[in-house]
Amino acid sequence: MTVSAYIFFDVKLGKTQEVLNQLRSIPNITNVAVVTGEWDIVARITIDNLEELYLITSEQIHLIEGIIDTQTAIIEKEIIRE
Amino acid sequence: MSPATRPISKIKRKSTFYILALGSGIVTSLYVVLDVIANTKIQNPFLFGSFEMVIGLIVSIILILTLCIPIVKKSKSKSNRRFLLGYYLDPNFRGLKLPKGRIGLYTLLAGIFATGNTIIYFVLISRFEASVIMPFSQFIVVYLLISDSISDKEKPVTIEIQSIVMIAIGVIVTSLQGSSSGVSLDPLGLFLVFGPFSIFSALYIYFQKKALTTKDSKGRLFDSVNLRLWTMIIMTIGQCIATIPTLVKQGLGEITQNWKSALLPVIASMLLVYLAVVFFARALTMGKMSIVRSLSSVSVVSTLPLVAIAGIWFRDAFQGEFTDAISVILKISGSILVLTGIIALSMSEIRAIILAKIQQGIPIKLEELMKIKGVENVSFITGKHDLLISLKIRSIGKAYGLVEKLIEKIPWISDITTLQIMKEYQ
Repeated sequence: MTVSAYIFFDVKLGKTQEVLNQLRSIPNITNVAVVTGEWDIVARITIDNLEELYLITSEQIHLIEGIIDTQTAIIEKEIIRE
Repeated sequence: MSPATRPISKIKRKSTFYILALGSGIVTSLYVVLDVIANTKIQNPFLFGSFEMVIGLIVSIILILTLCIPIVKKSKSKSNRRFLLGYYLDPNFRGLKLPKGRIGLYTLLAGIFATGNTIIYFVLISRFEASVIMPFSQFIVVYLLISDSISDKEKPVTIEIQSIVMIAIGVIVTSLQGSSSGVSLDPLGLFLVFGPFSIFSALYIYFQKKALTTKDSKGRLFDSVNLRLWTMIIMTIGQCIATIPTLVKQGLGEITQNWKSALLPVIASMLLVYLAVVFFARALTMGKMSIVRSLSSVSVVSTLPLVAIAGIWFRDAFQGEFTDAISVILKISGSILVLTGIIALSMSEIRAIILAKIQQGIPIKLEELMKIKGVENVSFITGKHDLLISLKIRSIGKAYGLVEKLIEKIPWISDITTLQIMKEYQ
């Protein structure tokens, strides 16, 4: 069963587009949005298991230059309007 | 069929989405052109409508039986994959099915309103030229906007008013008939477009969506292929009943004399209608409704070049289309107005994310949140916040109303943070 999570990013000034492009090149990231407020970017990721989430965050996302801080929120349950 | 045993498409999801959304618009233009060609053979709109619906029903039954052909795909790593050919049109298709319970009721209502819409459609194609039918069909958006405003108890925002005005003026301009002696208007035809044609169409779309999104007792969704077949049966019966007075008056003469020459365009048209409906429904499941509507509204302008091409071979059917320069200018201007109105409206949506915490000790009533218009989905998440609510609204003002008036007042939700989406990639 697949697992989905939201990752919130705090990004260095002037690096937003670069970070966006790098995030969009990760196949597991299905949706990326630039937002106003507490965070700069919100991404949605879908993976096979938590081990894969750890690998993608530690080996790919955390190496992207320009990211100051991240927070990952795993989706426990999702209700979509029909 | 479990996801593991489903066939894997070689075309990228994004490309498939664009092909389906744009394809539904172009296919729609094509079948309108074919209907007008066939209409020159059988000119009475009721007789022609009945003939087309009966042929369409036969075509639909043959098509659905073809879609029931089982396919086996050999796989090296896993056991062979088995699925029906119709899976390619709609992944929810599991063979011919009779809709029951609430799905059955919604299908019946969709069929009844589709019947009303179809009867008027045949009257319109006999009164107007092919290139103006698609702009007419977009007037439904005005009703959808008005019903939204009434149900939200909020005034329409500027972009909604702009779009309503653009579409309404666009429809009136396309319906004008220019000639050397001046410009003329068909008041009855215009009344049919503004009134019953659009109202029935809006209700048909509403119940069609209800039928496709209601789950059966096994928790499964109804498919667009079966929905089309059952609404088609109801439409054929309705159209034939509406033809009885004409039959009593003039008999079947027009059909018996001309059915052979009308048969081929009618078969092609009904196959294309089927494709357009399924393409549109499939595109809706793959991407944003706003993008699907914008892309499929290409039919408003794509009919004109198709009419020009068809006019080379079928001069009789399209002789009135390009004879007068004023008419051509009016049609192009009106179509562009309608198209701009639709695209402006579709692309004016604002998306936002609300992060919230859940209040300890108060029972969660999810329906309180889900019934709020604009709430697209709700995720229970781990971490600093407990809830992530995705919103889709038409203006920041509406977002404020949504958060301030509704979400903040839900007792089990606290500590709200709103993130407005400036740019989104999917």
